[in-house]
Amino acid sequence: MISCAVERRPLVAIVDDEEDILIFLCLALEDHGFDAVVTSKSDSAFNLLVQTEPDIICLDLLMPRHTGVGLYREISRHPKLKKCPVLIMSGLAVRGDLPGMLKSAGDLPEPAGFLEKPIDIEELVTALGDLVGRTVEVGA
Amino acid sequence: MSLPVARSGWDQNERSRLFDEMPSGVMVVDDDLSVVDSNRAFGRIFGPAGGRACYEVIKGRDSVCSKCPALATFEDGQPRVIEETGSDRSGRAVHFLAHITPVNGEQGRPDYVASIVTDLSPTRRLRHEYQTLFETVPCFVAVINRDHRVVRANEAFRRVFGEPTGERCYRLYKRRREQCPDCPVDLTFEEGSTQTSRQMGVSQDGRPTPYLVVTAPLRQDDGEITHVIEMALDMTEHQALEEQLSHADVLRLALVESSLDAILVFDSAEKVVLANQSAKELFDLQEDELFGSLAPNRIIPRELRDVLKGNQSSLELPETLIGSADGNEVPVRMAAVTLEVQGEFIGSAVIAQDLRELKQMAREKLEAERLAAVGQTVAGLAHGIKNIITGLEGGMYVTSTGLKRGDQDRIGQGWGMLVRNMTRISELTKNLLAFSRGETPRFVIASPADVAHEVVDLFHDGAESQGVELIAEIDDSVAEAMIDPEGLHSCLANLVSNAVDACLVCGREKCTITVRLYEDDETIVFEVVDSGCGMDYEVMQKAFTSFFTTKTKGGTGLGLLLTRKIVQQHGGYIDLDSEPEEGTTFRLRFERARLPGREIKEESNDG
Repeated sequence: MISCAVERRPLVAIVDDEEDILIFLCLALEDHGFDAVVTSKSDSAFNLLVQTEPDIICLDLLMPRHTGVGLYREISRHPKLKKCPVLIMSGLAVRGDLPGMLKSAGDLPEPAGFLEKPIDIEELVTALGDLVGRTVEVGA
Repeated sequence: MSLPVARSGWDQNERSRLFDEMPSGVMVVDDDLSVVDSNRAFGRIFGPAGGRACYEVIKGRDSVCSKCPALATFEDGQPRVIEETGSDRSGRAVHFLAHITPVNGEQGRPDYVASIVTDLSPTRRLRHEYQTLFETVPCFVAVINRDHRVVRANEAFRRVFGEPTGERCYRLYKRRREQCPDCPVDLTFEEGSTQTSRQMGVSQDGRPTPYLVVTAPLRQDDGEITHVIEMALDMTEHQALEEQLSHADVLRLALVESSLDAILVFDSAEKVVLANQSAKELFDLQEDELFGSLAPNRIIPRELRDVLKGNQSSLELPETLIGSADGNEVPVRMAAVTLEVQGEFIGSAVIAQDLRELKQMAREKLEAERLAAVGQTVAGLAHGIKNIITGLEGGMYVTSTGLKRGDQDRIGQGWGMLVRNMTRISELTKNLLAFSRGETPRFVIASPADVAHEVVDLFHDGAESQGVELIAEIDDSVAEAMIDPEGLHSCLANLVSNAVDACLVCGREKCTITVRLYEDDETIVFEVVDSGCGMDYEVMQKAFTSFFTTKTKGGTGLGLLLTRKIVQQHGGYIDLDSEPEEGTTFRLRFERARLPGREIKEESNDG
């Protein structure tokens, strides 16, 4: 089995409050050729993101003006982090709600990607692959 | 000639007295026109005349009048009658009729001339007055003969129609070529009595003009009616006013009758003079209780009586109870006001609004809020379930990939996830059942202070053992209310428990929790204040709308949802203030007006 590892594996930062989601996504993404760091949406989440400089951020957003929005706002204003594509995962909103949500939260920028929960791993992997600009092969 | 002597003793003395006391003035002059005798009546008009010349006395002249009738009678011995104007004793003009009579001497020639004078002035004045009236009265006055021709007319008539040239009345007033069918003039000629009628004429500019017409007969001396005097008053303005008034009346009646509010009007003796349809319905009034009767006591609250009596100018009762005819109580809003005309009390008006519908709407609003709360609960529920599903999916993925690779650690990790989430499902189910079982709260009259004390007692020692001080600021004077004590106990307990956790999570040295109860403006307020770490805005928002918990282990977060549901059942509100680093206040507000009423109590008694 030849695996094409052209460069280093892309680093995905996963931010969610649910421990089991963090475990699940972390293991699944690593299986699919990504490196992952995980954190809950605590005060230290932002600093962690600044330090690790991920290639993509997967951010759980509950609803407008709820936990996660503040973090997203900080990311969008940070000189380095704002260049990092953010994929928003949402447990309550559907895609159609997104523009309204972002506007009511204070004109936040549109995220690079959006997925509804419950997350489908294959969908997630494809979306992340698109965001880093190549197909990543699955390690056995 | 001497008179036969009558039994009454009529003699010269009596004769003299007659001369003196005759109601007509008498003056006797000699051929020098000097007054030799005059009677009292004469003196009353012309003053003392004896020895003066008649022209001086009667006319205030100093020389003989031209064509002096007395001189003429001296000359021809003929009596004559003249109508003259002289001047009376005060120099005022006096109009009189004079009968000039010769008093013949032995030669058959007048020695003296007597003048019998009748003062026409009152008559003349009267005639003058009537003439003035005729001329200047502001309606048309015309004298009409049997031929319907106008023979005489007053100034108003002449101004409009010109001089009466014998034109027919129907031509002038109505521009008709022939007589009117119901001619009032003819009727007056026939009946011989005054007639009043309304006629429609045509004005000078061709407009139809309503007239009020009065026709009265004018009789000759022999009693025959030769003319009719017709007075016609232009009623245009009057009619316009009448119309305006009747419009205003119609409008008023329409407003009053169509008003959804009950309106009653009373006179100064507190008798009903008006009751609109809404009033009859609201107050259940029978016919004999209306118009002219006193209002039954059941519908006028005691406080309003003073207004009906005129002792108080107005009063409003935002909510009061009146009695229906079959003994039920009806909540109404009532206002009463006195009615005055130029400062005089003439009666009062009462306006009432049925509050049953409003109350029903308030109940429905409460119910709608309950459903909205349920809706939000369901949304929050879906999110919680999604997370569990993700957890299970994750568990399955991790376990199966672990099995494929033969990675024991991984298998263990995955299995753990499965177990954890299965537990969460059963926890969730249990709590949901409890949540739904809580559907029927039991409302009783109870003391909110008692509930607060119970919760404080429950948590006090446990909190202290964990280094958390529990303080009670409970106002025991807060009056009893219709509450579900068990439900409120759950709420408070939940809040206090969260507060204790918040304190522990925060890890501060000293943390206090205050449980407060007070009443403000008819609202019962519970507060649970902790001096923990506080929550930022986002966490606060999340707190109420989902199965949210900041606790890392256990807890389905159902507690706050349940709390909110119980608060909503009481018609209450829950507020949250929090500052990061400073602490959090949860506040439950229960307005007494929104607490369940008696109906609930009766239901729960049955069930």
